Amino acid sequence: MEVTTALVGVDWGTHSSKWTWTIPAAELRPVSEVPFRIVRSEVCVEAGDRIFLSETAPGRGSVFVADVKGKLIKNPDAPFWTGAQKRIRLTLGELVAVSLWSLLGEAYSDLRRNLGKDPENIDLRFSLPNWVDTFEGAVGRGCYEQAAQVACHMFANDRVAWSREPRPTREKWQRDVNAALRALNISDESEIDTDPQGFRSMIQRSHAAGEGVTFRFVAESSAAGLAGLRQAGAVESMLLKILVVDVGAGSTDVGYVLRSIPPVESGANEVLCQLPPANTCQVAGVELSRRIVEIYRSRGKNIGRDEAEVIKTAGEDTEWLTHPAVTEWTGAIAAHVRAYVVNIPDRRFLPEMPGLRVLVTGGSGVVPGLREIVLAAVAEGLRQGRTPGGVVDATNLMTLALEGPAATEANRLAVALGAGSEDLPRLSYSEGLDPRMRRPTVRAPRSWTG
Amino acid sequence: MPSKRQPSGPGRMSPRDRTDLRTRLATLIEEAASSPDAARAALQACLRLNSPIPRTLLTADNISAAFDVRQIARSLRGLASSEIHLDLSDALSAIPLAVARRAGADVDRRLLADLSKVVTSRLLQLSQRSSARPRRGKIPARDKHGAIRFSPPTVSAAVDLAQWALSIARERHSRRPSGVYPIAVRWVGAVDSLWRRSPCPATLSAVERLATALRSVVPTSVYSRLVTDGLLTPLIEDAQAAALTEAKKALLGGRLRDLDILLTVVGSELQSRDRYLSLLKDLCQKHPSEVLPDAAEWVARKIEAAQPGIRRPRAADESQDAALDYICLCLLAASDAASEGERSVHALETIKRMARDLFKLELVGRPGEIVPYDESQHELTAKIEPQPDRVEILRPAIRWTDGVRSRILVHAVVKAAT
Repeated sequence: MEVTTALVGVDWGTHSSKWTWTIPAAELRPVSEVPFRIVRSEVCVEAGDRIFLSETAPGRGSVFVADVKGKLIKNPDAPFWTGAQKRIRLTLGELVAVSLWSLLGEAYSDLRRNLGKDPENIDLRFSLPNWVDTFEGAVGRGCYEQAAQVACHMFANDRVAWSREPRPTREKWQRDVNAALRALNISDESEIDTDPQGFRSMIQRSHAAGEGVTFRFVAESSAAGLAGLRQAGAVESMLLKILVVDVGAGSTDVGYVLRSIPPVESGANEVLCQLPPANTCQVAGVELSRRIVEIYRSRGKNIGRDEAEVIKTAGEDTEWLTHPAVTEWTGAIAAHVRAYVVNIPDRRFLPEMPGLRVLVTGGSGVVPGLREIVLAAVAEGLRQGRTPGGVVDATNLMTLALEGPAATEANRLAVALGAGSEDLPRLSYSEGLDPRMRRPTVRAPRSWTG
Repeated sequence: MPSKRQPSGPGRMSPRDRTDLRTRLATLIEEAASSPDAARAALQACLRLNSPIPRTLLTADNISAAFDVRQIARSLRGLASSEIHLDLSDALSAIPLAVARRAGADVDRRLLADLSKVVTSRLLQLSQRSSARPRRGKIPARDKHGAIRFSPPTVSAAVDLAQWALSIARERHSRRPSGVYPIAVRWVGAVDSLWRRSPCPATLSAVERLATALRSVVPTSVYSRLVTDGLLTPLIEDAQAAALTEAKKALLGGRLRDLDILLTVVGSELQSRDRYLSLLKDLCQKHPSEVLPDAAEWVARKIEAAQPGIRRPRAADESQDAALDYICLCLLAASDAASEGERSVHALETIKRMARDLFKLELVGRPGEIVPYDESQHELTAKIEPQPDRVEILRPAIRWTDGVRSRILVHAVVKAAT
C-alpha cells in the first residue's frame, strides 16, 4: 500500500531536541506507537571540520556551540546569516539550519527504514518557543522561520542527504546554505515580522518547501496540550479547557487550549483552539537537577547530574522534595503559572463551567508534588482573576492515560508528540475570547414621528 | 392446535369452497416450487384455510406477490414462521417489494402514512399480546403465559423497514420536515416494542442501527424532537443497559463474538463505551478465576485501543527507553548496598545479571577504584583546573551497550585521585 503522507514533529530545545514521526490513521491501519529520538542540541565540529549534533555531551576539548536556541533572542540586532561565531566558524543561521536539517534527516531516515518506502508528502512541524510580546522574541521568531525555510528547502531537494552524509563538512554546509539562501532570496537584509503580536500569524501559516514537503510551526505549550485535548473519554461536558504547563529542561512554557465537542446529532464539527501562551520562563528541569545534586551531596551522597535526572523522574525517594531549594524552584514555577492564569484572555468560557483542567507535561513535569502545587497556583490565579468560585472548585488535574515508563516518555516528549499529531492543522488560534453578549447592543431608533 | 390466522381475501368462504380449496392445497404447494403463480395461490390458500404455511413459501418475493401491504400487515401473525420466536422478517421485508409492485417508485405521502400506521399498529398489537413491559436493563423474559417473543431477524427487518419508510418520508416532506415526526414516532415505538420482546444480544445491534439511521435519515429538528420528547432516549439507554448486563454474561461465558457485537451497540457513544469497558475490566479484576484468559485478553486489547489520541512513544534508539531509568536506579541502589554484607553482594550480582541480559545495562567501575580520567564517562565532584590525569571512582557509571554501540547513561562520579 502506498503511503501518501507522513507527519514529522520536531521539538528543538535548548538542551535537547526530539523528533517523532507518524502516519495519519486514515492512511494505514492505525499505528499504535510513535517512534522518537532525543538528541543533544549542541552543534559540534569534529576533526575534519565535520558538523553534527552529538548524542553525548561534547568534551571540553571539542569545538561546539551550546544553547543555540537561546542565542536567537539574546541579541536581536546581531546578524543572523553573516558574522561567523568564533571557534566553530559558523553563523548563527547556519547553526540553526544544521540543527533543524539534522533532526529532519534523522527522522526521515528512521521513517524510511520502518516503512520501507518513501511517502509522497511530508508535513514537517517545528515547535515554536513561547516568544511572545517582546521585540527580541519577534526577531528570534523571524530568524527561526528563515532557518527553517532553509533547512526544509534543502531537505525537500534531497530527502536522503542526511542518510548519505550525516556529518557534512563545514565548507560543504556553508556552500549548500548559501545556495539555499540565494534560491529563497533570504539574507540579513530580508524583512522579518518584528511585530511582537506576530506569533499568531506565524503559527497559522503553512509553508510549501517543494517536492511534496510542507512545514509549519506550533506553539510549544499548545503542542504539549494536544494529547490532553484528545482524551475525549474523560470529558463529561461539551467543552474542554486545558491549562498546559510544560516543564522542560531549559524552559517552562504555559499555554491555554480549548476543545468544544458538539453533540453528535448537531452535525457540527469539534473545534480546537489555542490562546496566546505565556512568555517562556527560564526556571526548569536542569536547574532542579542541579539542586538535587547539591541536596544529596549535602547529605553525604555524591550523586551526579545524570543520577539526579533519573531520581527526578523515576525515583521512589522523595525526601529531597521538601528541601527549601526545591520548594523555591516549585514556587518560582507556580508564580509564573499564577501570573499567566490571572490574565488568560478568555472571558467567554473560562468563567463558566466546566472547570479548568490542568495538564503538567515535560521531562520534569513528573516531579512528585509539582502537579499539586501548580494546581493550587492555578486556583489562586483564577480567584485573582475573579473567576466564579464554582469554576475554581471544579478545576482539577488532568493526566495522560499512560502509566509507568510510557507516561514518563509521553510527558518528556509531549511537545514533539503534539507537533507530530494529525490533529495539529485543526488547532486554530485566537487572541482572546470576548464574553457572551447578554443583550442586543443595537437598538432600533425611534421613529421621528414618535 | 390450529394457529389463529387472519382470513385473507374478500368475504368468507362457504364450507364447500373451503373443502375444494383444501383439496387443491396439496397440489398448489407441490407446484409452488416451479410456478410463482402456484406459490402465490398456495400462500393465499394457506391463510384462508388457517393452515400452517410451509417454510419454503415464506419468502419476501412470494409474500409481496401474493398480498398487498394492507393484507400483509393484517396477516403478519399468519405469515410468521415460528410460534415461540415469531419470525416476521420475511413478511416485513416483503412490504417494500409489495409497495414497489403496486405503486412503483412513486410512494406518496398518504400511502406512506397509511402504510406506517397499519404496519406499526399491527406490530404493536402483536407485541402487546404478551404482558407487562419488561424491567429496565433486562433482556425481555417470557412471562408466565409464555408470551410472544420476536426473533432477531424480525427486529432487524423492522429496523430496515423503518429506515426505508423514513427515507421516503424525508423526501416527501422536504418542504415541511415536521411531517416526518409522526411517522418516526410510530416506527420508534414499534421497534422499541419488538426489541423488548426479543431474546438475543444480536437485537441490541439493531437498536444501535436504528439510532444511527435516525441521526442520518430524519431531519435534525425531528431527531432533536424525538430526543427532547423522551421517545428515543429510553430505548437507547435501555439497550445500552441491557448490553452491559449481557456483556457480563458474555465475558464470563467467554463469548468473544457477543462481546464484539455488544461493543458496537454501546460504542457509538464514548462515555458508554468507557463505562462498558470499565465494567468488564472490574469484572476481570474481581473474578480473575472465572474469566477465561482469551476473554481477559480481549478486554485488555479493547481498553488499550480505546485510548484516544495517545499513541505510545517508542524509542528509535533503544538506549533512550524511559524504562531504563528504573533499571539504572536499581543498579545504583544495589551498588550502594553492596558494602553491607554477603547477601547484598549476591543481590547486586543478581541485579547486574538481570540488567545486562534483559536491558543491556552494565555498571562501569567500582567505588574506590583509581582509573585514568575520561570526561566521556566521568563527572568530577568539583571543577578542577587543570583536569586530573587519574581519578577515584565514588559512584560507578552505567553504560548501555549492545556489543556494537555503547552509551553512557549515568556518568560515574569521581574525584581527583590523591
